[in-house]
Amino acid sequence: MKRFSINTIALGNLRQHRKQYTSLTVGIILALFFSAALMLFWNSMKISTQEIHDSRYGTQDIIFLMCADDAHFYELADAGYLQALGKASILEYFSLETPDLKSGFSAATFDDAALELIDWDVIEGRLPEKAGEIAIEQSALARLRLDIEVGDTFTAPVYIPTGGTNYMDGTFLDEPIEKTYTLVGILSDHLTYLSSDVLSAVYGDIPAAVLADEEEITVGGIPVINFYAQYSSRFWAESKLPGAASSYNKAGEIVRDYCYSSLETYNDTELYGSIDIQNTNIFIYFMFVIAFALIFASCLGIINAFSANLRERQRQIGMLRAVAATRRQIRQIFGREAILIALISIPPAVVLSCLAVWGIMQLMGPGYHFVLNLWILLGTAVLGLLCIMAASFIPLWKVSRIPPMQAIRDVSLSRKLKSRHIRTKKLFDVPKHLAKRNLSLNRGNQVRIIALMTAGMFILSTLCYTNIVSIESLMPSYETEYDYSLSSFGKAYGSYSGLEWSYSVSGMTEQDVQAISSLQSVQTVHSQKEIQINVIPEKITDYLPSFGMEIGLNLSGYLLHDLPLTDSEMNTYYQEEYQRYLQVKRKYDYIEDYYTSFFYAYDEEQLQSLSSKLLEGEINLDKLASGEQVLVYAPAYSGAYQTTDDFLANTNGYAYKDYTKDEADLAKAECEEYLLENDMFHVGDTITLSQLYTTEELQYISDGSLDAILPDDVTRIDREVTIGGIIDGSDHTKGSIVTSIAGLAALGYDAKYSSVDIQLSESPSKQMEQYLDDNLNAIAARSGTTEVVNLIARARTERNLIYGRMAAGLSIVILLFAICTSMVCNSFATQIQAGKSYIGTLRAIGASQQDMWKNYRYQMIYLFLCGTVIGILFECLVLNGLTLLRHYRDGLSTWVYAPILPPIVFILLMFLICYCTTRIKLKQVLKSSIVQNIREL
Amino acid sequence: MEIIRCEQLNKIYASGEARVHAVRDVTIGFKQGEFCAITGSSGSGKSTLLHMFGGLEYPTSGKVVYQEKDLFSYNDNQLSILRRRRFGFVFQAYNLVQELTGSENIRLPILLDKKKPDEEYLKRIIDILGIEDRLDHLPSALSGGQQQRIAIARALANKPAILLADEPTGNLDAKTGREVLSLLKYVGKELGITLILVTHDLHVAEQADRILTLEDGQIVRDTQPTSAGTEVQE
Repeated sequence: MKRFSINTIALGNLRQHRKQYTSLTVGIILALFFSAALMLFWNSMKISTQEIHDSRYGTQDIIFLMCADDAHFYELADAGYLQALGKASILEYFSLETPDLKSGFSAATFDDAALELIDWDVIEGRLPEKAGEIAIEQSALARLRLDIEVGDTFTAPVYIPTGGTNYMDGTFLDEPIEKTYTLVGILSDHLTYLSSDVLSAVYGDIPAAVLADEEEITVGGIPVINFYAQYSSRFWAESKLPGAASSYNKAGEIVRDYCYSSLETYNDTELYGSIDIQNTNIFIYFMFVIAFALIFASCLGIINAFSANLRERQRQIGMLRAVAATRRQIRQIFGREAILIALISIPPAVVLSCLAVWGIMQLMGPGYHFVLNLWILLGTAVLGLLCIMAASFIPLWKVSRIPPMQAIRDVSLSRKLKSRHIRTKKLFDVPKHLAKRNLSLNRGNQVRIIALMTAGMFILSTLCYTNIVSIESLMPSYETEYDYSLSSFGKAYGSYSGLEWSYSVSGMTEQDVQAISSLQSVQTVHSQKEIQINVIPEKITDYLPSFGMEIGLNLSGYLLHDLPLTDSEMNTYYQEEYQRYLQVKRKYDYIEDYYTSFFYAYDEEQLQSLSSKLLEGEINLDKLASGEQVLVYAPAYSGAYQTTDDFLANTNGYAYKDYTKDEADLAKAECEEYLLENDMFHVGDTITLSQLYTTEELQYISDGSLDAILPDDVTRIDREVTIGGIIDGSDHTKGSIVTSIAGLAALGYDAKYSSVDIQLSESPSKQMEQYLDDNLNAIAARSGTTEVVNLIARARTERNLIYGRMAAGLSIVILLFAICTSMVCNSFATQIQAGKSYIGTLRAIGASQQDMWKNYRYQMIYLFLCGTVIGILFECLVLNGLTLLRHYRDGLSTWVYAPILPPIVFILLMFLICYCTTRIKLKQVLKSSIVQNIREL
Repeated sequence: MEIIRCEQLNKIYASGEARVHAVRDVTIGFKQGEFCAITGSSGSGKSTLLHMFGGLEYPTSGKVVYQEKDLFSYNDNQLSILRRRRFGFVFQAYNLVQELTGSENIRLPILLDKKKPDEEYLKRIIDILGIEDRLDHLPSALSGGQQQRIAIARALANKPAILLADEPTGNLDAKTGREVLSLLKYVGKELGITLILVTHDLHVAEQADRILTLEDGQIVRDTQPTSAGTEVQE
């Protein structure tokens, strides 16, 4: 005999009501799927981006460069601020061009802790084990320009540092030493990523080669010490405390007192590629809000569905109570159904979420991978179970408390009616009147449905508000002008404007550009040179200065007096700049005032493309090439406008901006009071270009000072040129000069190529892309300060990110739509099912099918109208309120309105589906005879 | 003159392999103003026969003719109109709309027909039935007898030609049942309505002018009054 238990009763009930429970189960699966998928995706992205970061930069949070005293760093570790500390001792410096150490790299011994923190991938071979062995990073090896493989022995000149105890005294032994090494390993690149942040050469360097522990420095040399460290949780906890309590301040003191510099490398911006921190945080915040709202909506749906289901089975419950089942037993039987539904729903939800996230991570590109986190899955399962139990508990508790006879006789409606004050009407439209009465008696159900709609509309609006879901995102434009871009960096500019230190001249050579042009698939190469130049115009007017974003290079306002500035930090800084300017002017015999700017040299095709921005004059390539003429960037308007954005504005609340001719109206709207037209540069004007050039090393007056010692050995190269054309544009520094590559050379200003942009003849295959990456990186590595950006890969990553985001966003929308629609439809279907007798009676006394349908239609329209209005009001209040907050707190100048159209479309679609399904349900009931309806057969 | 009749009416309920022949080849007619009781044991098919007469149930075969037209040749809409204008129904379980007051329930058939109620007529019905002080109450606040009177008033509101009552006293105590029955009889006579009543109670059936007895879906006895007394057809 089959054992009769609560489980068998529950299973039997589930089988019998499987139609009703199917949609509920699907809704629960989808909600759990989304919640788990969201968490898994987040976790996978976090880990993947961290791994990508670590593989490029190492796992340390900070590198202390050129440390004078070990003790203080170990003290920091002992005090609990650092959870890992490793030491590197730089023994020598490989340099290709004497003494241009910027194109070289250093080699060091590392303790185990440092090696663990840096975490190089050994691409080939191994780490050195004995003296005479070396392992080098791939790009650094390319810079040696030696055709060697692992196992080969090579000899190269190295400079030996004499670090000393005071890093400011650091120098090298007079002559380089020829050293012989056996290459035992090739390591993954770190220096190319890290060195973009290294501000200065000489000792501020990061080793790109590993020597064995037993390797010793050449006699007379003193190792340069770097420390690699990870911050502890205590460090982060105390980092925001004020003053001496702040761990950041403590670390700053160490840096100031015991090392040359530090380089923080912890991962704070790499989370979503091109998305910055603020938007990432907003994204995180909104995703969690959406997840919470979705779970809330699911719980509402579960409550609704269980309530409806239990209402239908109230008689069954009443009869069970009548045959002496206790309330607890009732809750057990029907609660068991809820548990069984949960157990049925959870496994497919978990499996689907893993599969979905795995699929999405495949789309994200190299380096991104799915990370299975059992805690997340377990948490989702437990949370899902708890939510289902909690949501089902409410209706279950209510229904178990109804006395048996009341349950059997179903007097719930009578009780509701008794509590309402009903006024008799003599004349009424029957369907409408019945609809109003039904609505007034089922407020609880109405509230749930309206809450569901509001949640759905709010979530969708949030997705659109944060641009996760947008029409524009569906059709992103990934057309970039170039396919690859090489840029040089790390050029040192002293605080004294207009001085070029030759040792720090970085960039690509003519040979490098030719090598790039000769690569397969390369169709067009546009190259650019860039130097700093002092410009002596015919006059300097109010038009010139631009503050805020252009600090340091075009801060020539100190030459003028009538500006809307008051005493402020900016003004103080200004005064210092002015003093430095006067020093330079005096030392290098400038009589007239000058301003410092950039001097750009483009190839002919790039110059021709500037024609569309020409305001005045012409672009005469011959005259540019001969050095007779130059072009000047001088936007049509320049002005100051008021803003609350602290970052842009001075203490008076003014920020400066340049406007093109097209932006004229905007300019007039924003800053009519201070608007200035170009009265400084005109075609035909003669200007003097003056470069100060030195081969001496940059030395600062004192530690921490920005003031360099002005070198004595300076060559001043002055050239008189004529302005041949004025170029409109606010994307370049105002007053900067433009010529051709040939023109720069003709004027006698030597420079390497600062950037090279490449167009390919066709979209590259995977193999071609790999070929281009390898070869361009090898070419870039020769200069040591050039970065290769694969714009195709970047666009692809961004595209994948956007598609991933869109997929996530759309799946949320679809899931939400499914939940909301099924719950609303279920509510009406239940009402119809439960009201069969009522339907039969009305039909018996002469109501037509149309009259029956009108009743439900009125209810539906009323609910959806209320839901729409409340939903729109709610989302406008919340989202526009948020925008208002950001407007005042962050000085956000543009207003982002809460989107209204998407939620309205959402509700309309839901209404259409509910309309159709309710109509179908009613037709099914009306198919039965009137007698069958009355008897609820 | 017959106001409604049925010809070779059959109703078979099929559920899986089981078939129940509820009404077999019934041919019968009713005159205007006649009070007829249909009686029989439980499961004899009397309610099914009544429902088919009112167009509430479709026959398997045969027809019900009203005003020389087969009821079931009308479409659903036309049947609905016919039901609210020409037929009145009284059910054992009263079947009032719980959300509406007594007065609103009574007016339902008229308002469904988009007509203005004849207030004088309604007042007369209400007076006869004695429910004037219960009209603003919801059915849940009324006793069984009061609910049944409201149901009778609703059935009469649109001045039907035929009143069909299915066990109208079935849920009432004896005294209330007798009251309701005599009201039905009185109203029927007063208004010239043909009253067809189903009951399993012989005492109730004896109140009628004519008694039809059903057994296994067939009419086994038809007791009609004649000038000479009662004529029995078997």
